[in-house]
Amino acid sequence: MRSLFAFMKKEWMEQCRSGRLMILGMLFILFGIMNPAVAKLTPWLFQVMADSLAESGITVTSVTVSAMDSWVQFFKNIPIGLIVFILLQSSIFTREYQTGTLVLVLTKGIERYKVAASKAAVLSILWTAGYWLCFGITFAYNAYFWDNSAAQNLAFSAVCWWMFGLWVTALSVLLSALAKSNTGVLAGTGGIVLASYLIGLFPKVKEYVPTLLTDGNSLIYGVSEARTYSAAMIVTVILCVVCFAACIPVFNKRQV
Amino acid sequence: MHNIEVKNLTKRYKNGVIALDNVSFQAGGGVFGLLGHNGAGKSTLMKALVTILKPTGGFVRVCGYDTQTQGEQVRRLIGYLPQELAMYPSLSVYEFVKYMAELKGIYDKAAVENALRQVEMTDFSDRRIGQLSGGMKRRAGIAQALVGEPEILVVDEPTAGLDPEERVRFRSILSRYAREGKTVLLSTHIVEDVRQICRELAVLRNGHLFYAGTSDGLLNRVEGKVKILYLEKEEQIVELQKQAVILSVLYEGSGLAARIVDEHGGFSQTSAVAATLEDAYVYCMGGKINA
Repeated sequence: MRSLFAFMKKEWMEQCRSGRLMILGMLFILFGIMNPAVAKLTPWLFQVMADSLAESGITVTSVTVSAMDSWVQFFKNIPIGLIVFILLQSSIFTREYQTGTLVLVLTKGIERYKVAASKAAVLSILWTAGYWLCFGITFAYNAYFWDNSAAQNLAFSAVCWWMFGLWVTALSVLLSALAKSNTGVLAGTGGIVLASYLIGLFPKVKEYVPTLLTDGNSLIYGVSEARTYSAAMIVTVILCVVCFAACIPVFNKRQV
Repeated sequence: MHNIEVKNLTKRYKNGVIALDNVSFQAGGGVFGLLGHNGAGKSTLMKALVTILKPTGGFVRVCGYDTQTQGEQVRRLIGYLPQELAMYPSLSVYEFVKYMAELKGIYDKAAVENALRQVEMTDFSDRRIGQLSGGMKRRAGIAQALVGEPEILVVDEPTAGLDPEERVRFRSILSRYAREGKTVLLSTHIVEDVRQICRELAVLRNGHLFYAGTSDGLLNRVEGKVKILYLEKEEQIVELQKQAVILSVLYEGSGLAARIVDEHGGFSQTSAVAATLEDAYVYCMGGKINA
């Protein structure tokens, strides 16, 4: 167990010293602040643009914003956060394959499953911490400026998006263990997410695909009910477990 | 019992390339040299020995433990310095060696400090690995292999690309370690390294074991047969190649001096010279011409 913690400590130190942790921290904090800030600035922006809009025949009377606008902004920004997260972290295995650093690690006696488990754990923790930090900042500002109770199913919609992000993270960990290069990881992850989206276009299977969980706006506006998402949630949890579990035999067979 | 036992070891890759073909030898205490040109199969053999490569056939036993079925026990006994040494540039030397020690289940600071002291890196322990010279990186690499004082030290081409001073330092570190009763398996294509510190050696050629035994035994293969033959023209080399194994050819004055192995004593106008281990090695490799 101590060797697992030693490996995780190294992963953590690498995240810190390579600057990846700082970039992620800044990104999620920035998005957390931006969501309410954009909502708050919307009336002012419309006021500034009123003259030019009037020339186009649009009359701006009074614009009122609420926590809902901030949450809509949250669900718009968080995909960008996830993309940056995957771009930064997708090389978690491939980097070590290419540099050969795992050779030393594995000849020291640490079991391969521990290497895979610690890498999966570090990425899951980073995604979870970054996501909920962003959510927490937005929630706090919204509570200060407006009223969060306007958003329906807020906690559930946030959990849905977090779960979707965790699935994408699990995918990238699996593909990183499998692929030779970072390009392969990104192409594979993007391809599978796109496939999930395309499958979701078919009404019969729509409620089972993980991409359904990204539809946070329908939940907070009460257009959809929480139970509509339960099948997708269960499928996503299963897929997360499968991806993380599959990573171990894949890495076991991998020649370093 | 020998510390390292290699028996009928074979490695065939999926593309059909045979990296090792039925290789067998044993290594006891001291420094054991593994000689061979680039691509001879030395690194493949070492990887099989340190359990990161699965052989197609045969086995390797380390202190009686099979590398395939008892990998965990084997890994506890070995320290490994790979040829392509990859480290974490953001870590300091101390952090790196400490991390490697912890992965091996060693949490004693003294063990880390001892390993750094053995490679004379104590003064550089706070320096980031990314800021080290090639020679110092190699020393940090050997420190991580030495941590915990493993019974078997496996070093793959440790002196390649190092300046003469670092090479001498490396040889000293390895021979000192072997003197403590440990086994050092040194893979190299630099004959001088083997000549200086190895009592026993094995020679690999295109995946085949060409020789295994003492340095003297290898030397005996050419002892009394190495001669210098003076040639007038470069064209004579081609004719000479048909009659003898040419070890080297050097320009001397207006002619050439060919160092040859005269197996049958057929050359009368030659002067016999003392054979070196390099002569014996080149002879094993089938001769070469360095004009």
